[in-house]
Amino acid sequence: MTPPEDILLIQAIRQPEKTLSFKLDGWDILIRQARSAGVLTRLGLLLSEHHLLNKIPQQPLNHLKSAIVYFEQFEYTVAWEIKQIQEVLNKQNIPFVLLKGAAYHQAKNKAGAGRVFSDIDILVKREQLGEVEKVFLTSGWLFDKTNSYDQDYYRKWMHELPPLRHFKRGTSLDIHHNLVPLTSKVCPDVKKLWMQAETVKGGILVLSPADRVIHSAVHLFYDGEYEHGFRDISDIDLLLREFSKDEKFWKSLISRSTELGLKEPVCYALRYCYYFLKTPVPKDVLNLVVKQHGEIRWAIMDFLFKRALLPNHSTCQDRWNDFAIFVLYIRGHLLRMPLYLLIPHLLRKGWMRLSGKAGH
Amino acid sequence: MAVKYALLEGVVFKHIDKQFLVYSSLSRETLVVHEIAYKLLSLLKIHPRTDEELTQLLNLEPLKDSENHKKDFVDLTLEQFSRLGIVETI
Amino acid sequence: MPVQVYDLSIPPFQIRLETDISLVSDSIEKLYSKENLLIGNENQFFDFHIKVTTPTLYRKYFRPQAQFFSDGKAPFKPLPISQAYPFFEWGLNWCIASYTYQYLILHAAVIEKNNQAIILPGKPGAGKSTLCAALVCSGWRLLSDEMAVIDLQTLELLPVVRPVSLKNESIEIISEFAPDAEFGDTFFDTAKGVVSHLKPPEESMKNNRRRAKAHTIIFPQFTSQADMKLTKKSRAETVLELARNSFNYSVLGQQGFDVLCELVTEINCFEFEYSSLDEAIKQFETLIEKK
Repeated sequence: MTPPEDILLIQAIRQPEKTLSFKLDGWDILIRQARSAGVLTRLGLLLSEHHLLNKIPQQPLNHLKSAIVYFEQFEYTVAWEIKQIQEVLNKQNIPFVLLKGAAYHQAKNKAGAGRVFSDIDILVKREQLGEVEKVFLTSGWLFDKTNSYDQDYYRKWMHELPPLRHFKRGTSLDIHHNLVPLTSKVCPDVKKLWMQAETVKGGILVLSPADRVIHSAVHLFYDGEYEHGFRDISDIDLLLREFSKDEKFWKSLISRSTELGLKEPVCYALRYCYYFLKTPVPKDVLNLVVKQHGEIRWAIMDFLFKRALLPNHSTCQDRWNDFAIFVLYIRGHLLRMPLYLLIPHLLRKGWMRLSGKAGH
Repeated sequence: MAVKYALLEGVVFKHIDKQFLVYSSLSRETLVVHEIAYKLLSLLKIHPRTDEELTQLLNLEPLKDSENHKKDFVDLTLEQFSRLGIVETI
Repeated sequence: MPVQVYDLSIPPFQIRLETDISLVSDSIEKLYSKENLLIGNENQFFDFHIKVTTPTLYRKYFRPQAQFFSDGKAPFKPLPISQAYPFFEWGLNWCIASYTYQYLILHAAVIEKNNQAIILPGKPGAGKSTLCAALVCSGWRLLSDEMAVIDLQTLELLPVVRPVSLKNESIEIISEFAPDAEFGDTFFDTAKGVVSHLKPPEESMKNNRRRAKAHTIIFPQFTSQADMKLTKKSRAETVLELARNSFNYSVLGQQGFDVLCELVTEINCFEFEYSSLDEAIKQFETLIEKK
């Protein structure tokens, strides 16, 4: 297993000045790692902040500059999309909370700088789902997945409606009513999230800082998808650094995660953020995290996560990577659905894929 | 208080030969517009205005059904520009 | 075939190409020159790491296919192995369009003579590639048959000299027009029909880093038996149409708009209808004479 210090991308993020000593072949690897991991723009902005851009050789600099240019226009696109969504929902007085990447953007979190994403995620109240659906369908959005099985699956078991797509702009919208599927072993009381939601720029609601971290942790450690695992852990690292400027944050994060029944994913987040990116988590908090599991359990989770969360590039993986990701994928499913529902679901999905009907 | 219109962020417009182009970073639309619409945008660039003020300042040529015609053009333009990410109400 | 590695310099890009398909390596060796090969030292930066290989062992022998990988990711569905070389060129277009935002890139051919460059934006089926190839075989310098790469600060045009892709009748037309022109293999049954590639002339290759200033923008339209007609096009309309015919205008946002507006100012823009290549070339020569 590759130690994080040996990975150029992680070196560059932990200590941007180290890039001054990189030669062209090093940059060749770094740019590709960053792009695969989904953090090329983030890297570019970080180097710019440290006044290192003009010291970078022209060829790799072109790629960093390109990524930054892309992001500058992307920000406008997101702002416009959020505005359209807000207009549609405000007309019917339907409250909503902006989640994930769009929330980091709107709240001007450090994690939003350079963060590109392909869907906008919002949280609405479960009782209002029917209304919300109607209002979007009559304002130019259509369902992406139209077969009845997928529709049922989403509505019955998941914490979200099937994804919507705007017919003209082609943008994607995911509507959630909770952070995790209803079938999950641990499902937080969503009313608590609403109670602590904050208003940011434009009168938009986002989750409280602690809840933003918790949501990101749950999404990363419970969902089972690791294609952007490194980017997600980098998001959490940036959120933690920003919010912990208030010293009381660590304690409130732990107590809030306990209150919501989501302490485990937050413990994983803290442990692996420190491991990969040396996030300044206080020693006593790290000790608390260790107590979450026994030694053997940690050995297993470390084996899996210390691989799955590496940048998704061939230069960062060892022969156990695919296996680790596979195990976590199964685990993700098990966490979201009990076995008696999962097996028929996977069988049906498998059949649809083989017969070409899945459209994946 | 009457509603005021303002230019949105990321909007640029240019005068090339005898034609007028507008670009909106929000909607990513590039358009050729009428000279009066261009003048309207130039006015909004200075500071936000109500549709009444715009109608007056644009000094539109009086037509048969004069008062209504002037206002309609301004209103229609503002409505279109709102949809295209060029202006907003504040 | 064992995997061949080609470290290519196609200014302004450097590309590492790996392939185990002989159709690809044969074409590279035929259509690219020694100026395109990067020599020796280990310390290189590649803008793109491309692999064109058979996707699975199964697909090596049973209805063989080729797959295009950009740094390990496959953005497209595989194609029949007989199209492996055009697949490389199309895939490279995609890489350039997807990752290059430090330049504004228009879908257009660019040729140059007497230090004056003409941009030929390309409506599909309008005949721009054929016209471009004919000009290039008549002493004009090729910057590109596919992409006008514009420096955002200086508005200069950068060459991206690569084999010129010709389809269907154009192949025969140009072979007859320029019997000395060097062509690569012919590829059948592609999504675009029959495809072949013209090797860029030596002069174009030698100048593959020399930038040019835009002199004129001409929207060509080949219409059989039509009288030749050159009509002025409004600069504003030109901006609109160039924006529609661009690989990355929508990503560049305001900067793209500013650059296009500045580009058209002080240069002439035309629609050009023609049916004879010889006449078309004569017309182009007179355009650049008037300074």
